[in-house]
Order: sequence, then C-alpha cells, then structure tokens
Amino acid sequence: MSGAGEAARPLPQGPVGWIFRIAVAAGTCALLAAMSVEVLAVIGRHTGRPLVGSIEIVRACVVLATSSAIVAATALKAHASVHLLTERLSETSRARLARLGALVSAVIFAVFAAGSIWIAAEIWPGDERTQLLGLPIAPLRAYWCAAAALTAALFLAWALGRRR
Amino acid sequence: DGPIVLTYATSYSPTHPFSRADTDWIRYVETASHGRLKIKPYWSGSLLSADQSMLEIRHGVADIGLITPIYVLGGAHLTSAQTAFYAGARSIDDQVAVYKCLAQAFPPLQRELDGLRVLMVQGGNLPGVITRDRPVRSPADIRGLRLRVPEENVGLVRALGGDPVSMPMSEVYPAMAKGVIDGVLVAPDALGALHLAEVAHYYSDLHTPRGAYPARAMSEARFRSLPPDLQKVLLDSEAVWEGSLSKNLGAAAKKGLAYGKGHGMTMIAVSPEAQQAFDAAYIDVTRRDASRLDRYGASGAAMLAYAQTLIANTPAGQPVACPKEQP
Amino acid sequence: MSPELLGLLGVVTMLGVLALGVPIGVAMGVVGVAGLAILISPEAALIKSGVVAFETVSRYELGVLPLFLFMAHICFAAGATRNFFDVAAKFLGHRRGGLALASIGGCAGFGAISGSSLATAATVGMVALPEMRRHRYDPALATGALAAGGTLGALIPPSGALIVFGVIAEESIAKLFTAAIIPAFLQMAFYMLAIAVICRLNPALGPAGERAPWRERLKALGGVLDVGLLVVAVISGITFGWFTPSEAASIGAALALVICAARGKLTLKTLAQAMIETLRTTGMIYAIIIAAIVFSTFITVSGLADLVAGWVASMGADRLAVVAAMAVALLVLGSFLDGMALMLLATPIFLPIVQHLGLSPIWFGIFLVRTMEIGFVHPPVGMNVYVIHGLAKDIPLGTIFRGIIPFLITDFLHLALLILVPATALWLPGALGVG
Ligand code: NA
Ligand code: NA
Repeated sequence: MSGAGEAARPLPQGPVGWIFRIAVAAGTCALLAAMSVEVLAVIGRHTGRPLVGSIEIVRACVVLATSSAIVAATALKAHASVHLLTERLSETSRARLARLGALVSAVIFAVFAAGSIWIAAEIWPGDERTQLLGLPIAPLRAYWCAAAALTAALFLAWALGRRR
Repeated sequence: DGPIVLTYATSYSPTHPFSRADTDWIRYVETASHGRLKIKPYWSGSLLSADQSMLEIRHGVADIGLITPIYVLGGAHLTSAQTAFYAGARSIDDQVAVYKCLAQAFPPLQRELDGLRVLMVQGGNLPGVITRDRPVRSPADIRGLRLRVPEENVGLVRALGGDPVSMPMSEVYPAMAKGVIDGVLVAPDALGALHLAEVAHYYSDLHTPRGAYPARAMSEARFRSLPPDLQKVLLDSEAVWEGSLSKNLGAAAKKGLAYGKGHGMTMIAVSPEAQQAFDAAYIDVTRRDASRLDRYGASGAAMLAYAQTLIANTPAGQPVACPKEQP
Repeated sequence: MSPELLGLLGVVTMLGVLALGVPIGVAMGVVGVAGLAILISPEAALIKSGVVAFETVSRYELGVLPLFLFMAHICFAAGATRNFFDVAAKFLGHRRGGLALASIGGCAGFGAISGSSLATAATVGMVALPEMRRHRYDPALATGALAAGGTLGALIPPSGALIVFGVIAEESIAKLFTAAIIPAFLQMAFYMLAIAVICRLNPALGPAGERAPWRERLKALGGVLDVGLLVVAVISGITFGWFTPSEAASIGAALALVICAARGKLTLKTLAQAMIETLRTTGMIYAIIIAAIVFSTFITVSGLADLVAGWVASMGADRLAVVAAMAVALLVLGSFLDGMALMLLATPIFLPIVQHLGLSPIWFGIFLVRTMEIGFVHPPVGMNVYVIHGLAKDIPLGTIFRGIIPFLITDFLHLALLILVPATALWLPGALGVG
C-alpha cells in the first residue's frame, strides 16, 4: 500500500491502456460528482434548503467510483502483496509464481463476478429502487458486475499471456 | 443418529430484544423436538447481511434467519408498503394478525416470499414524539418542528408542516443537545438506550402507526428436507416466537417509559381526538403512495381499504379475525 | 475434520498463499470462498461473496475513503507536505536533532490531511530525508524518525483505518476521530522526546542547524495558513457535528481543489495524477476489504473465532491479561499482515471479547489502530520501512530497522499508557459530547 508522491510509474499501454483510461475517466467523474453533491447537501442543510436524497446519489457515485478504481488498480498491477519470500527466488521461478498468482486472482474475481451476476439476474424482475428518489439500482449492479468480470479478464490475460 | 443442526443467523447482537426472543425460540425448538433439532446461532451479522438476507437464505447461506423485507429495495415492494396500512391497530398482536389476514387475502404478498417458509411475523411498539422544549399535544403542534424521522414518515411530517430530517439514530442525542433538531419520532424502547431524557423534556404518546411484516424465515428447500414431525415442531414454534417477541418488546417499552419518567421527562397523553386526526393525516399520505403499488401485482388501494376495514371492525379488547369473504 | 480445524487450516493456507506473492485480497478471498464452499455449499459461497462484493462497493460510509485520499493527493500536489516540514524546520532546526523533530511535526501536519501511514511516511520522507542527509544526520535516526512518524498519519484524523473499523464495528466515525486526537498528540510528544533524548546522549547523530530568524518563521507559517485552515475546518466540522465525516471528506477535497488552484498548481495533469493515485489506492483497499469480509465470514462459520474468543475469555476476568494477550496476538499478526487486512480480520474476533469485558469499542478502535501501526514499523514486514527504503536505496534495511528501535520503545510505552489509562482516548469525545 502506498500513496501520494511515489515516483511516477509508466502507465499501461495498448488495450489495457484503454481500459485503464476509461476506468480513470469514469472514476474521476463519479468521485467529483459525489464530492459536489455532498458539498451542495451541506450548504443546503445549513441554509434551510436540504437536498432530499443526496445520500442516494452519492451512493450511486460511490459504486461507479469504487468499481472503476478496482479496474484501474488492476490495470496498474497495484494490488498489494507480500514479497518477503519471492524476492529470494530466481527470475524464472518468480515469473512462474507471478503467473500462478495472476491465475488465482482471475479465479477469485471471476467468483465475485459470477456471484454478483447471479444476484443481479435474480433481483432484476424485482425492480430494485432507492427509497427516496426511486433511482433504479440495476444499472449500478450491472456496472459492478462488468468491473469484476473485466478485472478477472485482465488477470487471466496476464496468466496466459506470452512470455516476455 | 445425532441431532439435525440448523443454522440461525441475524444481524442483531445477542442482547437486542429481537435476539432475546430468538433465544427463547431456540430453546423451545430444541426442547419440543426432544433434542432432535439443534439450532446453531450466528449473531451480529456475522453470517447474514442486514439487507440481502432473504436472498441469502434462499440460497442456503443460513438455514433460518432474520429477514427485513421492509429494507429490501427490490422484490418486496408490497410487503414493505403494506406496513403503512395499519393506522388504528392497537397492539403488536393486532398488527401480526392483520398482516396474516392481508397475506391470505392478497396472494401477490406471499409470492414475494417464494422460496422462503415464514416462521415468524413481527410487529413493533408504536413510536411517540420526543421533543426538546416544545410539547406535542396534537398534530398541529408538529408544525414548524424539526424532527428526525425514519424515511417512511418523511411525507407525513412534511404534510403536517414539520421539517423532517434523516440522520443515523446515533446522531440524535448530540443533535438534540445542540438544538440542531427539536425532536424525534421514536418508540419508547429507545428512550433509555439512547439516554434521550438527558437532552429532551417531553415524551408525547401521539402514536405513529406501524405495521407487521414477516421477519424470520427458513429456506423452503431445507424445510422440505426435514421429516414431517420436525416440520411440525417448526410450524408450531411460530406462536412461541411471536409471543416471546411481543412480550420482550412490551417489556422494553415499559422500561423505556419508566426511564423517561424517572429522569424527569414530562409524559404527555394525547386525547383520542388528537390521535384520530393524526391517523387521518397518516392515511391521507399513505393513500397517495398506495396507488403506486399497482404495478407490483396488487391494488394498493384495495389492500389499504381491507386493512382499515378489518381494524375498524375489530372491537376493542377482541382479537383480530380475518373476514370470510374475499376482497 | 472438525470445522474449527478446517478454519485453522484455512488461516495457515492463506498465509502460505500470501508468502507466494499472491495479492493479499486474492489470498484471503480464495481461501474464504473455498472454506465457505466446503462448510456450507458452493452455491452459498458464490452468493455470499456476491452480496459482500456489492455491499462493499456501494457502502456510503466507505465512500469517504477515496474522497479523503483525493484530498490528500491534491494537497500534496499543492505543495502542502513541504510547507508543513518547512514550518517545523524553521522553528526547530536550530536544536539538536531539530530536523528529525521537524520530520515528526511534518508527519503530524500532513497526517491531518492524509488517512494513511504509508502515504504520510512517503510524502514527508521525500521532502525531509534529503534535508536531513544534507545536514549530515545519522541515517538510522533520519529514516527511523520518518518511518515511525509516518504512523501518525494512521491515527491523526482523518484515518482510513478508523473509518474501516467504524464501518465494521458500527461505531460512530466522528467519535472515533475525536477519540484519536489526544493519543495522537501524546504519540507525537513521545517521538519528539525520544529524539531529544537520543541527541542529548549523542549530539553527533543530529547536528543543530542555524536558528531561523522570526521573519522566515512567520513566512513559513504563512505558507501553511490555507492548508492549516482546511485541516481545522475538516476536523472541527466532524468534532462539532457541522457535517458527517463523509461530508467532511467532500468539503475537504473541494477546499483542497480551491487551495491548489489559488496556488496556481491546479493543472489537468496534476488533477489526473492525483486521481490516478486515488483510484489506484482505492481499488487496492476495496479488493482487500471485500476479500477480508468473505474470509472472516468463513472463519466465523468454522467456529474458530468462537474458539479463540472462548480461549481468551477463559483467561478469566483479568482485563489487563486479556488485553495484553490481544496486543501480543495483533503485534505478531501485524508483523506479516497488511494493516487493513489485519483490522478486518481482528475486529470480528476481538470486538465481542472486548464488549464482554465491559471495555469501550471506541477505545478498542484506537487500541487496534495503535497496535496495527506498530506492525507497520517492526520487522520482518514493516511496510513504512520499505517505503522509506524505497526513497533512499543506499541506506540498508538493517540501518532503518536499527533507527526504529528507540521509537518502538516509546510505541510500547504509549500503548501501555493507552491500555492503563483508557481516558486518554475516551475523555475528549465525552467532554465534547460527540455522539
Ligand atoms: Na490521518
Ligand atoms: Na506489518
């Protein structure tokens, strides 16, 4: 886990680069929208014009932002891991382990995607809507399902990709 | 062979009044089955989620669990909305009985619970109005008050000229202490737990109506897998579970009211006329919302009319009995 | 095999998979799903992980994490890190070990914007480490102070770890933030005291610089005025209930954008850079949170959690012994587990014990973050140490760990104080009536 001010690393290129850029663009819009709505809600509350249902809008933005963030972090290969033992291995064994790790990662995100898709499909006819504004939740579920599936696909591509 | 172990899961902590009733029920089931059924409880949301437990039970995450159709945002629109149809119901037992009649008379209500076997229907203590420094004796006193209310009462308070606010229950105490809000609609059980007597002076029993809904359920598939005599034990346990909850909630309300009195709150008993006026306003707001239910397979207006007729036709002190003719 | 044994096997497998370099979230997720599939059913495991995943990404209270991260990245882009260090250096640089003291001060200042220990160590380190090296500070002292100082970022509000704790434990985040303020100040004071003592014993470790004239000091102070106001607005807004922690993050982020623009540093490039960093960290944390909740569900179902809880409870009603045992367990786990993962794993197991003992969950949140932070700096996996090592590859890891030792000693004293005098955490929220 690291944060602000780390040396700039190269951004992903090619198809992964496109996925990354779209995820960042979507995440940026969603996060800035969440920020603006909450600022307006606070101003509204303190000036006697409360913004009804602002939490529901922010929640929708949060789904879009965090789903995009998982895709973006994956495209950057930024998922935190422990390198205590692997650092001492040879180049080839390390590469093999990395492939294995990517495969396991693909499996777990495929499980998250499959579970989420199953649920979304089952809830679909139930017309899931937020309480105050009646915003439909199905599109948000679909977005998260797509993000989880895309994350699994990115890992799978690395696991099966050609050797450098 | 050993006993059949069924898992039971709830999002509430083991000390909550709901969970006390659950514990009574577990003891009953184990005794009544002569030890052939064993219930393994998971408290505090460690196994089932708060919102999606209906779906989780259908898929066998837990065998039995607490369900919250009123918080589910999809698939239980009728069950959730019908809780607003109970104006005038006098007790928790009445609420439960009215729900059962409604579910019998309107099959779409039961269809929302497909895949589940309902083991308990739950009602609740009627919320009163706690206020900081302006007593509420009639619906007219709500005008101009800034009140914390649950989402479903926002429309009502607004219709009465109040200023409804949604905030987490945990923020009510400091908000009331600082005068950010004038009061809160809350059932008396919460009086002691939230220490509201330290920041509020009035408790008014102007009751906000409240309905019942199915609240404990078992996976239908798992239920069918049991031998008939054990199925019967579970079906018989419904009355035990409902009775224990009603008793536990009643005790919690009494304790809360005693706490309020003991800490110097002024307890206001409103007149029957004031309560009737309040109920009428409540039904007006409900009727407007009920029309939106038609697209979910049942007429909201018909359900509301059915429940109100049933409540009006039940003499005080008598148990609610479902009418014979279909609506 | 008994379920409890399967749970234990799951923990061991998870640690083994972790050692192979598999991402933390993935290791917990795979073992958690497999365990639930065995203990309940594959269908239940699939559905549960789907429910957990969507509930996590759609949780309003957790949405404050990315917003606080964004605020910190924008403040960093505006140069706030250097400003905080400059102020501290101008006021303390003429003392023995002054720049090390200033590093702690800088960490505390930036910690009031940043929610994470690593981000604080990394950003303040980038500014402070070259300064200290230029003034011939002992490398062990310089890096030790930064690695330890960085942990202030996780305790001083806003704190990502406290947000996550508040969400799992269903405790007020505002109350947790308020409870963290006094312990954080004490921790800072302890670190400064440690540096003062070390440099008194051996002045060569941290040679005194020149005294900055008041004119320069005031100028430096002027440099932090805007960001300082932002910090005060955010923290007091939460403490006095003008807005919720979530809204505070949005207001803070918006103000940070204004400050960055006013300083002429807000370009499309800095915005994109800040957003990429925000989303990168957010994605990583969320993957871990989802997986850790699935994993902890598996541990609960296995009964291992109950077993451990029962075992700890059987130690009797001696609170001190139980709390000490928990601290040891957390420190051991913390030496190889990621802090966020540790918090998610430990909370459901330890919180019921804590409540059973009649201890405050708010106090426990502070205690948990504090022990977790110590795990960030002690061997073998002190993440902060690696971060600082990344900034100065020529300083061996061994030197940094040696530099940590005096701070670790004060950490243990500070932890003991927190355990023996819970009021250090609980007094302020009570006094201010924070709900
Ligand atoms: Na912080
Ligand atoms: Na560690």
